Order: sequence, then structure tokens, then C-alpha cells
Amino acid sequence: MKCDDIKILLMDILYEEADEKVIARVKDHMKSCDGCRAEFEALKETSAVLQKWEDVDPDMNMVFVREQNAFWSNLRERFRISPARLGYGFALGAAALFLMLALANTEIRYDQGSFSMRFGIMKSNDSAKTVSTMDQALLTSLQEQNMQLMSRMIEQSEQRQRQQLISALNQFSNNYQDVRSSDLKTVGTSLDEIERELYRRLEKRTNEQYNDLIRQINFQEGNR
Amino acid sequence: MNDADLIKKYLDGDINSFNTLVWRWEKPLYNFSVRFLGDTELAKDVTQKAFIKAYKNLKGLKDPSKFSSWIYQITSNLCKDEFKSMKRHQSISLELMMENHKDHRFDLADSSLPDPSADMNQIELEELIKRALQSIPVEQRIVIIMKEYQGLKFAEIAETLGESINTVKSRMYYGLNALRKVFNRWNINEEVLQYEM
Repeated sequence: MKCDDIKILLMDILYEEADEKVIARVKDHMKSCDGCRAEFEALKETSAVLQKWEDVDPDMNMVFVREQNAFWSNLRERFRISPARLGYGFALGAAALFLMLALANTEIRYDQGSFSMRFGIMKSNDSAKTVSTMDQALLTSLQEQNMQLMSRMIEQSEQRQRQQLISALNQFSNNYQDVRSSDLKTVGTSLDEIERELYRRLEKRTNEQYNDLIRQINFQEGNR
Repeated sequence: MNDADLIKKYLDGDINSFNTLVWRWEKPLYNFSVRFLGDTELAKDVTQKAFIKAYKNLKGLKDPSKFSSWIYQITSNLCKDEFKSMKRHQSISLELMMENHKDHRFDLADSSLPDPSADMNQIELEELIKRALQSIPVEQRIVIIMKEYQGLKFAEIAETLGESINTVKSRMYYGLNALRKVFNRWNINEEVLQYEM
């Protein structure tokens, strides 16, 4: 065995990964090769020096917590679907939908501000057009009916409001008349009362003056 | 519970299983990174990045029993990236650094200094080994760290690195020889260490 062949095997022996057969061959070589023996001892010593560097504790205290995923991420997580597969699924679904619509002879039309959609096994552009025209006439008729109905409703509403206003004015007028009549009665009664009181007082004073006058006359006649 | 079981539980929605993996692996990965980069803070960053990458990509691991190789692969790639970035910012070589710091206590190549082993302690020795590892090529360094400190078999290292077993052994051999030369230049050997430590 040559020295160059030994070099790699020395690694196996140094780190105790060589089988018995290899160990025997290398030992046999080293008995007669001072260079390889010295090299092995030197490598062993280097390894021993390296072993003087001891492990240390990192003191890192890393703790992982579950992140709050967005809705789509959670969905992907739950069904274990990759974004590529999700996209592929959507594309496939869209293609299937188009195929179904094509098989059903679907027609989607836009005509004068209105969409129309038609399904049918047999294609018929004329019937679709007729349906569209009928729809248009029906729509116009409905619009006219709506306008009439709205006009009638507005008219009725105005009439109802006018009646309510007249009724309210009449009620107010009646109330006003009642209050006025009541007030006039009160004033009349009060005037009568005042008149009676004045008359009574005047009568009393007149009587008193007459009595005074009689007494004076009687006194004068007595003196005579 | 082995790594594969924990991964399965994690994939079934148990986040604590991943945390168990983190607690189990943070020490080996951190120590791997420290020995590769020679910097504790960068090693912490790399270890964290490795776990975050693992957390995000664990679903893509086809064979959970290969988690060990997979996580070492992630960590060693991150270490390589970090080392490249370090080199861009710090292009000064080890030898040049030693020339610039003649009074440095670890400058064992300087014959004017007293015997380096005379006042050597554990921290100083680790610093020397760190510098020695930094002085050898990256590919050899990875293999040496994986073998010497992580205790991986040559076959496992080969699988992690995607290389043949013979390539790995060859890198180990040349790496050890390179380190031996550095240690000899610094007059470090097992006999001196046994006497001093």
C-alpha cells in the first residue's frame, strides 16, 4: 500500500469509522513507514487541540408562535392547495362553465339599454329578436301605465290635501265664532251688571239727597 | 420522540413540536455557527435565520428523517453567505492582522513574546483555535467543524454537503494538516496544553 493511499484511510482510523480490515492494513503499513506514523500522530494531536474548544449554551430562547394567516392563506392551508393549483382549478372551472354555456346555446344580448339572455338547444336568432321586441313593447306599456298611475296618485293626494285644508279652516272658523259669541255674552252680562250697579248707586244717592233736602226744608219750616 | 415525529406533529398543526425542535437544535447549530464565523452575535443571527427558514420551508422536506442534514445544510449555507459578507467588510487577513497587533497576547508567531502557553487559559485557547479555523479554506472548515464538534459521520457530512465521501475525507485531511501547521507555528501542541490546562 502506498503512502498516498493511506492518507484518506487515516481519517477513517482517526475518527473510528474504519472496519477491522482497513485498520489492519493501515497499521501494517505504519509499522514500516515512519512518515505515515508521524503524520497520524500529528493529526491526532491537532484533533485533540481542536477538542479543547468546548460547546457553549446560546441563551437564545427562541419561541415560535402560530402566525395569523389571511383568509386565502387559511383556505390554502386547510385544503393544502398551492397557489398554482388554485389558479389551475379556477381556470378549469371557468373553462367548464363556458363549455356548458356553449352547449346550451346561451345568448346574451344588449339592446337599447337592456340585456337579454336566452338558453336553448336550437339556435334561433329571429325568435330571440321577436322576444326582444315584445319585451320592449311590454316595457313601454308598463312605463305608460306607471306614469298614469303616478299622475292619478298625485292628483288624489293633492285633492285629499285640499279637503283637509278646507276642513281645518272650517273648524277654525267655527271655533272662532264660538269663542267670539262666548266673549260677547260675557261682555254683555258684565255691561248689564255695571248698568244695574250704577242705577242702584244713583238711586241710593238720589234718595239720600232727597231725604237731606226734606230734612233741611223741615228744619227751616220749624225755625220759622 | 425523534425529529421525524416532531416534524409530523408540527405539520399536523402542533407549533410546540417545532419549538421542541428549536430547543433540541439551537445549541448544536449555534456552536456550529460560532466556530464557522468566530463571532457570537453573528452566530446567533445565523441560527435564528436558519430556524426561520426551516419554519417556513419544513413542509418541503420530503424525508423528515433527513432533518439533521437539511438543517445543517441551511445553516452552513447561511454561514457561507455571512462569511462572504464579513470578508467584504473585513478584507484584512489573519497574518496581516497579527502584524498589525504585535503586542497582542495571542500573537504567538512573534518570537519576541514569551512562551504563549505560559499564561494560556481556556478563553485564550478558544480564541486561538477560532483564529486557526478562520485561516483555513471555508470548505475544509465546514468539514472539520461537522466532524470534530458536531460528531457527524463522514457519510452524513457528504450527504449534507452534497459531495462524495472521499471528497469529504480529503477536505478533512487537508484541513487538519493546515491547522497543524498553524498550531505548530504558534507552538501549540497537546503536550503543552496538558501541562498548562
